[in-house]
Amino acid sequence: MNNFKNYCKKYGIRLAVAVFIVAVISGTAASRSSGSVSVAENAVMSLAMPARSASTGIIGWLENIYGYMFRYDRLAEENEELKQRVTELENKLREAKEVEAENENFRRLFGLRDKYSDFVFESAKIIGRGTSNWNSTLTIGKGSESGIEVGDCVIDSSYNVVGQISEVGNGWATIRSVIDTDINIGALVGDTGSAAMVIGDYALMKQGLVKLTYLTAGAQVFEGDTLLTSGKGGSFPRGLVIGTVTAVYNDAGGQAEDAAVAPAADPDSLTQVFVVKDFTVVE
Amino acid sequence: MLLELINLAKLRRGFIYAGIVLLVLLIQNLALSQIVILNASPMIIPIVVVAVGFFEGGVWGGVYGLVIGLVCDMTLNEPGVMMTVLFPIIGFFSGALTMFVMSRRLMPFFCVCTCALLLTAICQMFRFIVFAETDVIFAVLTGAFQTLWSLPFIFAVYYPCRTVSRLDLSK
Repeated sequence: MNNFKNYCKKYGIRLAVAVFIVAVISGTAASRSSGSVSVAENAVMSLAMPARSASTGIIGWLENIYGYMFRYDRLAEENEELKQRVTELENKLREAKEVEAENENFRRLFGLRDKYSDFVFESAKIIGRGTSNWNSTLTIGKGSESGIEVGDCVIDSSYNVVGQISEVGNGWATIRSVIDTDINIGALVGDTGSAAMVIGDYALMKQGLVKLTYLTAGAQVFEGDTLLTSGKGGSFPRGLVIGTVTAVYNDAGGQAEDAAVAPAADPDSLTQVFVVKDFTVVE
Repeated sequence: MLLELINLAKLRRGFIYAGIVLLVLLIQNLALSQIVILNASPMIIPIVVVAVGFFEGGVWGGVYGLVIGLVCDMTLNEPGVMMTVLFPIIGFFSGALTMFVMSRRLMPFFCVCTCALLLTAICQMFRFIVFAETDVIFAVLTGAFQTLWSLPFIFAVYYPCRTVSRLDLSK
């Protein structure tokens, strides 16, 4: 036992000093780079990218084969449903075009400015998914060379919020998904447009949900309400769809209402996303 | 002349362990992270850290733990430098224990690995239990399942590492 103690004293102190120095250097490099990664991390991630990309491709291919073999009936059924949905949406589009023309006439009549949103997109393929049980991230195959920056908003093809860029390297970037515990998004709730915050919660993350909290006084939230981004804070443009309220409950103190929100974008099924590098929203 | 100054056997052994570590990191990042059962996937990296310490001693375990911890902090998106600090401690103490207290048989290896896996899970869930206003039970369950799913991989790591430790690499 004495030998054990002596060994721990002799080598343990040296190792502790080495670990301390490395941890301080690594921690300082990470904090000073403010989001963009250190040279070492960039090198490690760049080396891992081809393998991650290949594994994601293989897994996608296997899932397709599995789906074709064992879920053919369900896929056929889903295809029929989607065809029906396309017909419905085409009808709605025709109606919307008429309303748009009418709206345009009214705007001209009352001299109102046009409402528009102008986004600068960068499309990117998802080449990797989170490898930890403790966060929810995605990795895309484009990075700083494409003008992507930390804090940029990421959406899918239907303008649903997928997440936010949390790290950028050369040829890769990490997205903090909308259900991740570190996410914070200003939201507008339902038809009334009451302001609130969408924040990540670990328990809800494991169920694929996110928490709606800090509702303005007097505001009410109901199941089925749609949440849109408020645009406050400057990271997320106003009007993007975050998700739908699935359950409303009182917080631990019983004083305020919180809600569980199902994100509109499904990070698990996405293969391509769009990074909003710049945007202008005119209300 | 220069070659005489280098302990080739140690160097070769070091490269073989580096290969094993690289293989485990690849398996963890590319394959195991895709296997999600009851909201948790296995985490086998602490096992390889224990293995290096177990068969090569505390200093090797500490040094390999430090390098593996650094890589893990980069690739797993864990906050801060948690793995960089945790893995050298695991590697060093698993080595020190086998040098003076335990034998190098499978059962002690299994026990040390289980402790290392539990310690890793506790460190990972720490911020959710202490700092976040969340339901603790989800974090505890994830940690428990992560440890449980990792246990079978102890056998898969033990035998190759034991074989490497017995190889005569001086020739």
